[in-house]
Amino acid sequence: MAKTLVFLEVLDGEVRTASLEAVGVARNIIGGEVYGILIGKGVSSLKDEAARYVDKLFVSDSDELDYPYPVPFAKTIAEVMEKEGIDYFLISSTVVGREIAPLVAGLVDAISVEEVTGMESAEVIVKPVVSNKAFAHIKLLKDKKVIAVKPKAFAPAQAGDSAGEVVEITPNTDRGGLTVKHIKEKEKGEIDVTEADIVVSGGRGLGGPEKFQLLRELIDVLTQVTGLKVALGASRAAVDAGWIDHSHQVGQTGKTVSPQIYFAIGISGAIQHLAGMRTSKYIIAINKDPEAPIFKVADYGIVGDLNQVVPELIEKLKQYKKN
Amino acid sequence: MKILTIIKRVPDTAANIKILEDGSGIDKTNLNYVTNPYDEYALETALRLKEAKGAELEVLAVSDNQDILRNALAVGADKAYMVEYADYDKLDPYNLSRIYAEVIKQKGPYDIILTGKVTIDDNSYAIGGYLAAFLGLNYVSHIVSAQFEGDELVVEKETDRGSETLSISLPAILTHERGKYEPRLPNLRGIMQAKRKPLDVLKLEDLGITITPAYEIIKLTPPPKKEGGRILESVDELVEVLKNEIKVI
Repeated sequence: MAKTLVFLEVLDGEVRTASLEAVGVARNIIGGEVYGILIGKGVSSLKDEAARYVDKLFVSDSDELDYPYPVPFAKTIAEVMEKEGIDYFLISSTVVGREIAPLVAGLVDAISVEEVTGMESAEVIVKPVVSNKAFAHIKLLKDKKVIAVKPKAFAPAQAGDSAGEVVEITPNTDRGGLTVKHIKEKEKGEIDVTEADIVVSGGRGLGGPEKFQLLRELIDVLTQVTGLKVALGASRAAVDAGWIDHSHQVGQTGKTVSPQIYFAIGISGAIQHLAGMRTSKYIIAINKDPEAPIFKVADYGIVGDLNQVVPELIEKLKQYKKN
Repeated sequence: MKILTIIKRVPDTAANIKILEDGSGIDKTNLNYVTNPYDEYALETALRLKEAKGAELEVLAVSDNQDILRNALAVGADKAYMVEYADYDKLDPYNLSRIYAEVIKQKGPYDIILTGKVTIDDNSYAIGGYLAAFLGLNYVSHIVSAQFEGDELVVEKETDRGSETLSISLPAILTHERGKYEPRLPNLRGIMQAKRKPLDVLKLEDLGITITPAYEIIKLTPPPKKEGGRILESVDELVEVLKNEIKVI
């Protein structure tokens, strides 16, 4: 019977939904025993809740681990895998996950695959390749497998009625030569594009940085009306123009997203941008140029001036909510 | 100080990519090859570190073509290694990392190793982590810049947490996100100079490496086709779509 260890990534004091999706893959596709691991400063406070998702939960809590230092995190994970005879290590394919996954794989002599969006079986994964222009179906041939699953690609696991056993482990606090000098935190409540259900993205057609405020208003009203996670995205043109931070960029040199709905507003649809969002379930384009390539991939399009269309959409959604 | 940048030759994915009928791979006719874009950012940062410290900069690729290495020499790298391997594009990241690790053991030690966070052909983020594990190096991924403050190597990252400034002690491997500065292009003088710079060709046999595949690509399939899009005439219609078709409100 397979044994899987899932890294439960903590962000803003909570286990990320993306990590629960990885637990879902372990439960529904790989099967067998599913273990979880929490590492970091203060993670003990989450253990009772986290234990409800797994058969056994390992906890490594230390004030020294106030940042996801890849080396001690990976060494702790590798030690648990070896001690418990674990074949599969699952992690969400976030920045932290993609950093730790191959390091763990190297330590336990496993194959590491990241950005996994599908699984045909416990041995065959599916992931986008060549800038999302193809999906590769890959059979993993090594005994040990490290799989980083793309956020939003799988359904999250549900908490069980009973909690798994909690095992406290001695933290590894050797930070691997890494020192945190400064962290400028993101605005609170801002959702990352890769984790959003709906992405509202703006491009060159916005004409200036101030128009992102309009998109933020649309995000607020969409959040209220749908109850879903809505995030702000941008095309490379808008980022290069200095209108918005690179962390919002969707595309070949930015982030790859596949939300339920992708709003492309004032985005022409350069091939590099399409590479980052074409797997979205629904694409809605708003652009004044009817020839814009974005309309070729969009499910729904409105040809018009975003300065009229977006405020009207905000207004109509507000009315809809009232009714 | 010695710096190594690892680069990969990948299809130019900005162009049209066609999957072969039988799904066995992508159609290579008329395909252009480029340096993996994230490796170019890694190389630019390596050049800046070299200039700041007067370091030696070497580049490494596993390939059957010297073009990207000559380019790297033309923008300022001092020496190149090519591990000659015809099926380099089919190597899984585990085996590719084993080859890199062996070259590093034989030609190093290096104080800093830089490469892209991801290779866009196989969409693998694994090289940095594998090398850190195989070689016991300090490691940080997804950096947007790296510079020396005195003898301290300071890197910046953009993450889900925000903007992070970290320092890392050497030797270390760093993987590069899209950088804060654009990679430089070769000029004519650089291209001429590159012809006289050393480019050593190595064979797998010389490195004592045999390949046992860690994965097998069974097939490639195209992304799900979009049905022809629909142009909506009004915002009211869009609200209707959100309600009745997408069913999100």
